Amino acid sequence: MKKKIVWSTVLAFLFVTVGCASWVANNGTKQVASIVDYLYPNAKEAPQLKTGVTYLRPPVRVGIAFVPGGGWGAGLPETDKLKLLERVKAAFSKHPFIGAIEIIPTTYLQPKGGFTNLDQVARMFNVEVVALLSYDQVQFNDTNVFSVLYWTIVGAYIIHGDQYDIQTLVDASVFDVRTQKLLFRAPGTSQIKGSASMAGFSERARAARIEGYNNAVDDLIPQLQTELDSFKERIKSDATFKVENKAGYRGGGSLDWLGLVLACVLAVVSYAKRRSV
Amino acid sequence: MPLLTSALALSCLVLTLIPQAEQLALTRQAILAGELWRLWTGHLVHFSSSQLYLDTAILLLLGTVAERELGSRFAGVLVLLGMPILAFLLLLLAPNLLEYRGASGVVMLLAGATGTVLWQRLPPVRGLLLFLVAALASKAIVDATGMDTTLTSLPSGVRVAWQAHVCGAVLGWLAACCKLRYSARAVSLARASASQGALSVTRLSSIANGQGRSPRNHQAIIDV
Repeated sequence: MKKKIVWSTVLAFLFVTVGCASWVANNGTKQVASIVDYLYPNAKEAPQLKTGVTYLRPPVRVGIAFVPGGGWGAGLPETDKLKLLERVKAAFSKHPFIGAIEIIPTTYLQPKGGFTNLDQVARMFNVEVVALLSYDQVQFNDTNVFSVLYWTIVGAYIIHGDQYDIQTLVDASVFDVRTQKLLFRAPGTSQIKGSASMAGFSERARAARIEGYNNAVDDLIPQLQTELDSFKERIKSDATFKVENKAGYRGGGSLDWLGLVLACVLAVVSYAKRRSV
Repeated sequence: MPLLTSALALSCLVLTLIPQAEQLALTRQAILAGELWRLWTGHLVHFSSSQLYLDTAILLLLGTVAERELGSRFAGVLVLLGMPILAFLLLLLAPNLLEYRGASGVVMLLAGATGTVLWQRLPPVRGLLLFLVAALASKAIVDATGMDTTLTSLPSGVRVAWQAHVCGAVLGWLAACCKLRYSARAVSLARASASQGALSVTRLSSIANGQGRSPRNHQAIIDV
């Protein structure tokens, strides 16, 4: 009888410790917002590109937005999206050929809205070109050898027995709204690995996912800049693009080097007059 | 220490470097929407750092001379009143100008006034002043015809707003003419009072240099 009680206790203990290891989901998570799903919903055949010349009239008004993700909890929070868009905006707002960059909240975009929705939003925000950001983030969760110490209960709070591997891709595609033509695109990627205790895993992983998006955008900005520069060169020789001046122009008051020389002359005259008096 | 010039130059540097500089530029739509501060701030923000540094350097040089020749108070009033007048003239004379940034309009305002005063006070340098006017007029013609001088400090896609330079110079000239006429009247009244023994020779000379009191005060002195 005593032996049975001992064996029952051991079995119950093993059952509980095995249960500890299974409290954390090991399968990982995936967050996706696909530009194809947004622009070409239910497409059964290849999209027909509009032929003709794409006119670009600098300073171009640009809209920037994240494409809608796949349902509740399947993507970045809106506040984090706006922060990322602000960073992209700040990186490109100094170009003289970009008139203004409007941040378009994702709530203004309809999931699977297509170019019809894009056209509506472009008119609402008065933009000619829209940069759409799509993303794909995968998080792999694993346990390491230290997770065996979770059975101590205290270990679940202090031992980093769970680890994550988060891989993020953020892709920016720039479209001319009127002709629906893809002007250029650039990707940004990041990989973040880390570990956490079982109790703090959820919070640590969530912060790492946000950091993954931040790093991917950091990687995206210089690549987008490079693509923009090569696009500027490409349109010089591409007959399907034409750069036209808007009705009106931007003017700067600038006297240039001639003004500086003349100012020096005037200063010398004034100084000489003072000395002679 | 030219306080006005230093303040203007510092404002140019600070306002251009803030990220919201586009909210301060002189744009037709914004002015019509009631953002009237742009009538002043449009002259203090710039399109590029090279334009900023060049304009600020010229402003420091010419502003110092202008404050010395015109007096800080007159120069301050001239700049404060000249900025919005210049902006309105730009909106009126350049209907296709969507956005304007730059301190050169203000610089030309001060240059026009200073040049006029120097013309009056220093007859021997009139030839040199005529040469400066001719050089600036040539530049305005080159800018107006859209010829590329390759010396411009403006970024691509931005033209030189030559109207700001011309309007600034003309406004400065008009302001200086008013000042000189006012001073001449003051001097004639002061001479009249000096002949009656009410004013010293030193005071008369200071009035002749444009640092005197108003004609109304002199009239009061004569009356006494």
